[in-house]
Amino acid sequence: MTLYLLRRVIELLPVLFLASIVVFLLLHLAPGDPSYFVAGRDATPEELAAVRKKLGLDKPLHVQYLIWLAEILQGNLGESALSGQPVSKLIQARLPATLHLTVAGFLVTILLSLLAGVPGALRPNSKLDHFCSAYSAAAFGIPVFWLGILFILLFSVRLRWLPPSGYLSILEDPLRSMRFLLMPALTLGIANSGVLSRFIKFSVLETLRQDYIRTARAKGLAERVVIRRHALRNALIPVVTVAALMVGRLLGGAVVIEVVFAWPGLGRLLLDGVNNRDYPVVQATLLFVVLVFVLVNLVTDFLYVYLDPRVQLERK
Amino acid sequence: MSAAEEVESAYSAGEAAVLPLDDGNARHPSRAFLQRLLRSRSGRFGLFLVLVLVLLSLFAPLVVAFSPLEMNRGDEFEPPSARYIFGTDQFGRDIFSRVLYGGRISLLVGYGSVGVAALIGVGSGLLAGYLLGMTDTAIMRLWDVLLAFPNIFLGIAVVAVLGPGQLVSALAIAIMNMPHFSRIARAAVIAEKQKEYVEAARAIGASDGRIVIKSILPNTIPPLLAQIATAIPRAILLEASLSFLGLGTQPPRPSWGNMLEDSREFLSRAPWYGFFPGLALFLLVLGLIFLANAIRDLLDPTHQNIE
Repeated sequence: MTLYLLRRVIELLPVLFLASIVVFLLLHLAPGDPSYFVAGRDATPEELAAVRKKLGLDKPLHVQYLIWLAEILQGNLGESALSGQPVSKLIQARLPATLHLTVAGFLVTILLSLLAGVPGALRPNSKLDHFCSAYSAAAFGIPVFWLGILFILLFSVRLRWLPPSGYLSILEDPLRSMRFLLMPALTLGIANSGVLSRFIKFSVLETLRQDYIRTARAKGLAERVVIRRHALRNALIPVVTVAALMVGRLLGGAVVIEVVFAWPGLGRLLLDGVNNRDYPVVQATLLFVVLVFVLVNLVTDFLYVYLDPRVQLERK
Repeated sequence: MSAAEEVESAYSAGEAAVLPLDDGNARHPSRAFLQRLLRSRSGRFGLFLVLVLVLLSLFAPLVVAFSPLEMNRGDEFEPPSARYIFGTDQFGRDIFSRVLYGGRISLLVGYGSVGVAALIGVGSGLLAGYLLGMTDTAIMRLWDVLLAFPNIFLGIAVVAVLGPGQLVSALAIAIMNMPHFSRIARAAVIAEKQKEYVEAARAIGASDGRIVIKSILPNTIPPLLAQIATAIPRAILLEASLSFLGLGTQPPRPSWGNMLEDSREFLSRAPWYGFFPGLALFLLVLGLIFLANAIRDLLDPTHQNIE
């Protein structure tokens, strides 16, 4: 077990290394002088020279990369070309909003996916099953930004129940924070429940076909007990780990939703960076997202082995 | 298969079994395939939705009364009416016309980017799976790195380098799709390579290239077909997302994504503005998903018991 996990960690290192090269090269592949992008639009010749020296732009590319990487590993993500603020500060400031959105979106995803996934598997081909399947397909196909706009039209413009945009930390005022969070989280949750509910349905169906379920039924257990104690518990093992992987999808969805609801998160920071050609911000944010995504994948793998020891043997 | 891929395959068909497509109608396997597709409810529904939207977009010039760029002064923010069935936008442009012309972009980028991704992905996958060794490691590592970027972030990274635009967003979507095609082709080659017919071909002196193209490639078609079918709706959604974020198709050229982005400013004044492009996008993607599900069921009957 330890060996398998160790191997997984070691396997990730080259991926992270190569991903960092890709992110590093963004600045150099873009047409134009990199020092100009880093120093900002109104930089004086002296400032440009200082940036060139700091980034080592007169040195070979691989040396530049090593300088850049060394800075990053020391926690120095550089300064925004636009505002001059340290990028680490910018990310710190935006992270809570994105965390609010992804965590709430994650909870809604799980809830809706269970509601739409399990009943269909328990009564295949029933009306309920068809309804749940239709929901899954619709949730998978619905453009997340359109759903957000429809929600704003209904709940903000027409009914005037919820604010169309804005953000407040849940630590400051939980009740008011929820009013801001409700629509974005619901939008994100619905869009992601399309895939997950289908996965849950297949997982439960697959489990119900297993021999031990037949045995449980044959020994006279009530159907309720069979399903709750034997089927669901086992069917949800792969789902628990897979649900953790939804984080990648949630992060992606969050970028779009942050735009729809004017949510001040990392996604907007990244997009503003792209639009302003603020490369230090773009590089640092992308690197951060990749790191989170890769780590979540790793944790998921650990969880998988922990919950289902059979996996380890198969993967060897 | 990693858990991540399992999630994806809940809606895709990376592992569809290799099965003959003909239905005792060996002469016209594609016709037999279509017949079987039409026999499934999901296939009929999907095909209907997709055909309606494709035909409307394709024949847009014959259907619409106004050009998508024509500004009708005095007709700004007209609600849907007999004259403008989807209403007008802030410049008095006909939203119906813009939706149909926008559909062309969605379809072009969707099919084009997946086509390019399939071509390069399959090529590299065949190469990796056949040669193995260093080539294989290099190619697969490259895809691992791309897959380390969660979906839309890779698109944003490509746009960050090349600047926003329709072609760039299509390229970004193609790059995002390549790893999946490559992995499928590679897995198929490795599985097929060990079979007797490949050994037989080699024994009679066939070259590597000939073996891959004549013997192995045809056997990878069913899983690739299923992958193409599932990649297209995703590509169309991604194109719309990138355009919505201001990174894809640029105004005044209409795309469903940038129309939705524009409409946000006028939600209370013109609710129809964003409603119709979103609806068209939703219906097209839904149709494509149903079609993809039906195709996957045909290619891999083990799924049919579940459906």
